[in-house]
Amino acid sequence: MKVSLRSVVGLLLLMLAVSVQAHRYHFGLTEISINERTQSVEIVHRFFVADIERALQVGADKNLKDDEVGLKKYVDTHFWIKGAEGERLPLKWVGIESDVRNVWVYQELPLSALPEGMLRLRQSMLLEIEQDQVNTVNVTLEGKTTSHTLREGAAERLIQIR
Amino acid sequence: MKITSLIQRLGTALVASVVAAGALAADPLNVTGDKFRQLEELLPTPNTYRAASGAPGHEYWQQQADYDIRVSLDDSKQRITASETITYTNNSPDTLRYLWVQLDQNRFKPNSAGNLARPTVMDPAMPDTVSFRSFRAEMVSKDFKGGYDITKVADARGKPLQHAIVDTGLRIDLPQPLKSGDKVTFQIDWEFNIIEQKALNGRSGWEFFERDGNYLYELAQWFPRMAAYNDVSGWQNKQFLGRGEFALEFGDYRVAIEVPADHVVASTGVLQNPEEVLTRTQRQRLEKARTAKKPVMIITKEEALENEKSKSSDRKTWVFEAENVRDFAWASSRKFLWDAQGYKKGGTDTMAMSFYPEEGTPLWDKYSTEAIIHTMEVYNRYSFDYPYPTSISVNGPVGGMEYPMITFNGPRPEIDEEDRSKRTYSRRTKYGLISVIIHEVGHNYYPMIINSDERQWTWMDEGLNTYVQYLAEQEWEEKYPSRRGDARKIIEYMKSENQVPIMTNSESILQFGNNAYGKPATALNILRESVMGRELFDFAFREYAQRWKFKRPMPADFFRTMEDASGMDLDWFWRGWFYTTDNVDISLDAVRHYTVGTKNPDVEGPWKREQFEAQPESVTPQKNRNMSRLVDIKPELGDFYNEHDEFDVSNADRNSYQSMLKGLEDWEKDLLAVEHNVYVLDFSNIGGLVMPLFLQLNYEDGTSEELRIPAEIWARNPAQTSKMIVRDKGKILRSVVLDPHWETADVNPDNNHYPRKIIKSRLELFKQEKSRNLMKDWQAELEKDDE
Repeated sequence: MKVSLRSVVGLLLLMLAVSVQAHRYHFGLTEISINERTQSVEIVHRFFVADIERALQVGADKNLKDDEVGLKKYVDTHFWIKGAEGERLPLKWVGIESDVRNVWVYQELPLSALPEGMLRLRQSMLLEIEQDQVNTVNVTLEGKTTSHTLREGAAERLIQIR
Repeated sequence: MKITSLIQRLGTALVASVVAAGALAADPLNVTGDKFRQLEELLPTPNTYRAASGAPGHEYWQQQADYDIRVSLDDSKQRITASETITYTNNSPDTLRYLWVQLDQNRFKPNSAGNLARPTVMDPAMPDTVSFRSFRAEMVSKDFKGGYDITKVADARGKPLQHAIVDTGLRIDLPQPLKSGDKVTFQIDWEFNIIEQKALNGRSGWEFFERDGNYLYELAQWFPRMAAYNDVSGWQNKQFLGRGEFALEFGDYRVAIEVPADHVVASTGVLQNPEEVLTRTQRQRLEKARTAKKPVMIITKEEALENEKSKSSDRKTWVFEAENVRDFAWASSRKFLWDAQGYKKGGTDTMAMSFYPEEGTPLWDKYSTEAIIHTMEVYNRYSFDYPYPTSISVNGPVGGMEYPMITFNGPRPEIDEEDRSKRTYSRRTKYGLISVIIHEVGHNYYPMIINSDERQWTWMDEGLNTYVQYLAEQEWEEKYPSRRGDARKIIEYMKSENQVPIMTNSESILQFGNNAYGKPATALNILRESVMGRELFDFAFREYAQRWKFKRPMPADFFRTMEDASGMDLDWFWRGWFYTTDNVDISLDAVRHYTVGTKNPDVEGPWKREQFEAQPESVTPQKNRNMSRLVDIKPELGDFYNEHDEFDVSNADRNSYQSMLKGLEDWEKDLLAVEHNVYVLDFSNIGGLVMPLFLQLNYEDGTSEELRIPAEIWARNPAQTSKMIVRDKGKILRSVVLDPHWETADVNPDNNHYPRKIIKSRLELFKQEKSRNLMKDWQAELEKDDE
């Protein structure tokens, strides 16, 4: 197999001596749900602030809120949903929020802009930073949640939102 | 409000509230769906080693392993050379033909099972690419010669012993079988290259400081140590793959550590030769620290900065002794500042100490030792008095790791390289440091003293410790930003499908932190606050700690002790929270309002008419209202039935009522006269976990009441249940809220209200906040002197 090193968003072939460090773990969560009242597909990502700051290389003396643009760029690179024709769904950036440990990123899409059928989703945030990063994508439809587990090397999934 | 329009008549109709059991017909005894079924076949049969009460049995035993070790640190090669004499006492009833020793460092050999067994995940979308990072890791692994070089395995007189190395295990074949009650002594010599912690991400390793050219070493899993042998698993022979931590025996240690003469060593145990390795000033300061009210600097920043400039070629040996510990770790560097403060209370008499490079100031000097003492203060109350003579927190490359009497903790402030005196730390770094110190120092209790098998069950130390950590954090300051413990913080995880039960072996756990730390800690907090109550829970939890300190508990011992000491059957709780991945989603489906039917026709007749007339008129009669009717035109067509309708009361009705009354007992007559409001609340269990029902009843008169119904309400039918509530005449329900304080981790609040309430989504709430321009800062910057 030819191994190309060009791609930064690449494939992990072998992890050397990887351990989950004793008391740190790396976990991200994306919740996708339909809000019938507002006729909107709501997307909420939750990640640990520390991990995001490392990904964006923001120092502790900086205020990351000022780098919402950087975070948006990062999210747009690593998270997307595509329709059957391969077209990217135009997710609207709503904003970010954080406390001392977590950062929440909000995106939405009008229900009317949601195409029929299977969609291709990618959620590779932080997979390039932490070897043991596990991203869970929960799709909640009519009260029933389906979970997708995304990791390095397996960051894309076919999903159904309605 | 729809409740009053739901009014029905009571009478015999109450029978309708009996739940139909038809759905369970395929499993007539409801064995599979019985959420209250005892854990019979899931727990091991009690025996003389482990009692049915959850206490150690009357023939409980455990092995003992004592160590005498000499170790030398080569600062120029980052390499260890060492030899040890192990004395192993066989307290088991069994004869042992061979012994297993753990070689944890062998995990860093390129061909270790831990490395080879790691699955490769291929991305079908990009089959021919590899990330820079993994490729670098591949290259590093080729160059790094990790793992033990075992240079000698011999008996007490130096005669070589036959042995075999199996990955991270070493089997020593004994010339004579070791009988029950006997001891055997043998020697092992070894060397190994210490890993660069940041490159290989282990639980120990070195860190290099470019500015001053110094190394800081944190040494753990650094000596061949006895594998655990116990009544449940025999030899714990699961290989060290990297996740499942350690299964160890208690023993006494004497360790002589030879390092460069200008190094300072922090270690498990008590320093035996302070006159040889410490200055007179340092010894005096230590003496002062023993009774001090705040940390005393044993090595100041100025002294440490001076010390890190030297590169002594002389050597010094630090000798430590430790009694009744299950492991031994140490740290060494020229860079250490050192502060100490004695802590004496109850059965605890110890020195809390912190060792950190100047890069750790101004955070470490302010919080580390205080956090150690705070941890003991709280943990002593919930477990037992800390029994060891020291408790140390070291700042180095390891993010957070625990060993007996010594912990490695990572967070540091941010340094402006242009002006090194300018230092800031974020809120997150501050609380990250305090939390990690509480957590790691807390591990002295779970599992360093309550010696659970970490290789098998991560939750037994991480889960229990994270729970007490939460209590300690909440006692640090109000609104301490704890990551785990509060029920509402586990909801997103609980409703995810990609879970495994808590009772899963360490290597197979998906989402390690949520599974083995967050969920058990939250479950215990819920058990304490909402199921058992603080008094009962705390008594039982402390009883578990008292029973199993310096012993090795298994999961059943914990489950059984909690029931034994509280007098509560909690099998349903363990079954649901620890053996399944169900979540809590209970729906309050309906609230039905009844009043008692008097059966008196003179009361019931008009009441029925009133109900009938309260119904909206159908459209046809409405539109026909001015129509001329035949009976109006020809009154002669009318008769008795035009005068009276079905609601009119006849004397026959009255007579029948009187004769019925005569047939009733007095108490039955009294019940007919009751004017109370009767409510029947219907619940369904969607998530699967059975939980108590916490209800808030809000009345029309503005008053409110809370009701707590035990989980056993689900015992007969775990899918659906109903509860009747009888209230005085004036108490008309306006609304009912299920779990009003969010204490059960109910994943779906939408169905917790009757009548239903619109629950705004997180995103909606955020938009609302944002539009009010109240968005909180990303994270407020913290100045040095921030209080």
